[in-house]
Amino acid sequence: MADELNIPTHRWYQKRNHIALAKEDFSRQYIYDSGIQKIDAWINSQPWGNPIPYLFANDEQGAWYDPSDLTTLFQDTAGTTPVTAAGQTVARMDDKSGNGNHATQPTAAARPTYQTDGTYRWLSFDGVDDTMGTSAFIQTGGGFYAAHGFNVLSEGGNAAAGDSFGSLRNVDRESVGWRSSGTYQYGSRLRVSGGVSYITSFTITGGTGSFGNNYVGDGWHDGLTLNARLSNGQSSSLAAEEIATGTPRVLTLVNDSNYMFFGGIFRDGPPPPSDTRDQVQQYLADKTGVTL
Amino acid sequence: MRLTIAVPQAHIDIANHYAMALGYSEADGLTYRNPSWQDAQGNLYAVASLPIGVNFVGAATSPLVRPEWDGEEVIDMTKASQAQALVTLWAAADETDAPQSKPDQITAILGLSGQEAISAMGLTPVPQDEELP
Repeated sequence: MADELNIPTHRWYQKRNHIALAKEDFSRQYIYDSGIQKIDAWINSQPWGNPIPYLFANDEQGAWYDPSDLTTLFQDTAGTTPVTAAGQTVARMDDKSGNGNHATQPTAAARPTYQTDGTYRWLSFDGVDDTMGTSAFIQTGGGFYAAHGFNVLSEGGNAAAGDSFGSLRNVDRESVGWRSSGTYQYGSRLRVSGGVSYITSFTITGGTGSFGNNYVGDGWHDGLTLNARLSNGQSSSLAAEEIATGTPRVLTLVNDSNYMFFGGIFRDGPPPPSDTRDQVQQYLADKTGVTL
Repeated sequence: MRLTIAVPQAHIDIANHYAMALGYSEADGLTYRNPSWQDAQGNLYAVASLPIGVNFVGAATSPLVRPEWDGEEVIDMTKASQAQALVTLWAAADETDAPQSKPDQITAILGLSGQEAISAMGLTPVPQDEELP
């Protein structure tokens, strides 16, 4: 494309590509008429346009799930039968971070379904028993960072299991990202209880979301504070204690909220800087149909 | 089409053999796990909800045959048949009220969303011990 470098965007992934246009510039309208989503999609396809690969460029442990990429979705856990159409169940969603932390669900009845409205693509969890998980890999000793695009349509029945993306499950529970429970007001949460010598238990309130709305939520622990942020502008932080280390934990995608998952990442260790978090938030907002 | 099934706590084991008999692998023996739902009397149930194909109900209500994948005979077909005998199936298109879950019955509802079906069965989530600040 000869005019690639002249494409202005609302993005800031790479400032050299952001060229401000005068308000009356006719090309501004041309771009909108052409479809900003197409431009976004093109930007995301460029090596400089997608911030997520940089999160794992130095072999950081974690996972990146992108249900808009059909090449990562399979109807079987072995990854041999691809998902090709809306309504098909998803037994496996490949991790695009390069860590091989693929999310799977071997039990047929507990698999989410792939859905699309023609523009956006997501996994639909039924709010009863659907869930996906990884093998244990998360240590969280040096902090963590999680972000995801989602829509909680309604809370599931098992309130204590109403965690969304980033729920780490073992004997103990740690939840990062967004948590839906009763009042749907928990933004990020870490909780370790029982049998751990360095028990850490703290919760932060991330404000109030609304069922049926799309959001991007992210949470991070930087060694000093536990933070949560929602794309409606609400955020909060709390002085944090040491995060439990030791037995690696699994990453669980949703438990029983009736939930749309548009994509997300989890990274173990220190969180990325704020500008990178903003870039990831924007990237996921584009995947989720959220305007920041 | 979505099918939602509520299994009384006492019948979870045989229901999982039934699920394997209709399923694709030994992993389907974990279809019913935590009995995290209850009826008005406090009886506990495990619930599963899944999209099904057009042939599923026919297979589920016909004499059960050990699936090809079960060469090692993991499935106890006697238990699977016991569970099958307990099933009460109701479809949203039926002109009757939805059956209420009972401790001696496996209740299956066809054609509603998972959460709608659970509500129609008269089930509510079991309160969790975990406190929320």
